[in-house]
Amino acid sequence: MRLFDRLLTRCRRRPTASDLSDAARRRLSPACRELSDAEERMARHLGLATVPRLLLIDEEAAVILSARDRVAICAGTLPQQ
Amino acid sequence: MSVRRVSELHLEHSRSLFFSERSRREGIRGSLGMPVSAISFAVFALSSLSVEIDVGRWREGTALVVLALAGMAIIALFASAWQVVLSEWLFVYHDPPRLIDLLDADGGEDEDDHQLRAVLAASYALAYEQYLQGNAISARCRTRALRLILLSLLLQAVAFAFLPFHLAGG
Repeated sequence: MRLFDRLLTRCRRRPTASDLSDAARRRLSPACRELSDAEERMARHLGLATVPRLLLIDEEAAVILSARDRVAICAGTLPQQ
Repeated sequence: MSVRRVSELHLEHSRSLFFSERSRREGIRGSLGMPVSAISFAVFALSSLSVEIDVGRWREGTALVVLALAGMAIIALFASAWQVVLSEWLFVYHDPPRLIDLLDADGGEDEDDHQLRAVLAASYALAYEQYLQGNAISARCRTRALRLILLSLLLQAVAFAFLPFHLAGG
């Protein structure tokens, strides 16, 4: 019946970082690392007390990645659903 | 460097650069339609060429020329399609921090206003730089795709010019 639920009801479930496949994590890992490094560099350069943490949006997987997700992707510690 | 040096003008400048680079990104994506349409046309033209040519007579000079040109056109076509894929590869969005994250970092003091402005300016500047790098790579790939598909079409045009001589020889 779950199949019919998906067919007949318009569900709008937003995928989360844990829904990312291994291939998507591997693909995104360099971009995450690069962005985190750039954030640290910028904070050091401007002498910021708070590091600016940008959102990274991957439209292929429709996932919005926060700074914590990015760090977990780089470290390979993001739980998989 | 002190956060007090980051003025409203810096923030406005970073924000306007961010929005212009983001709209440029959409422009690059939109312009990818041109090489893709040309690739579709090139595939159609190649199918016409493959129907017309008699591969059994490959030892003849004209057939050999047409086959070589068609082969090079196919290579250029695939290279162009690959450049289109590369242009879209890792084309991710970067957005400034959410309001809730900014509020968590803000203490409401006067010094924090400077800090907040500096964080916002830094966020827009970072997002702009990331877009700029991505756009530069994507625009390069799109230009290569366009040039390669033009090369493929030109090679096919020359191959079609040789085709009547090949057909007359049969």
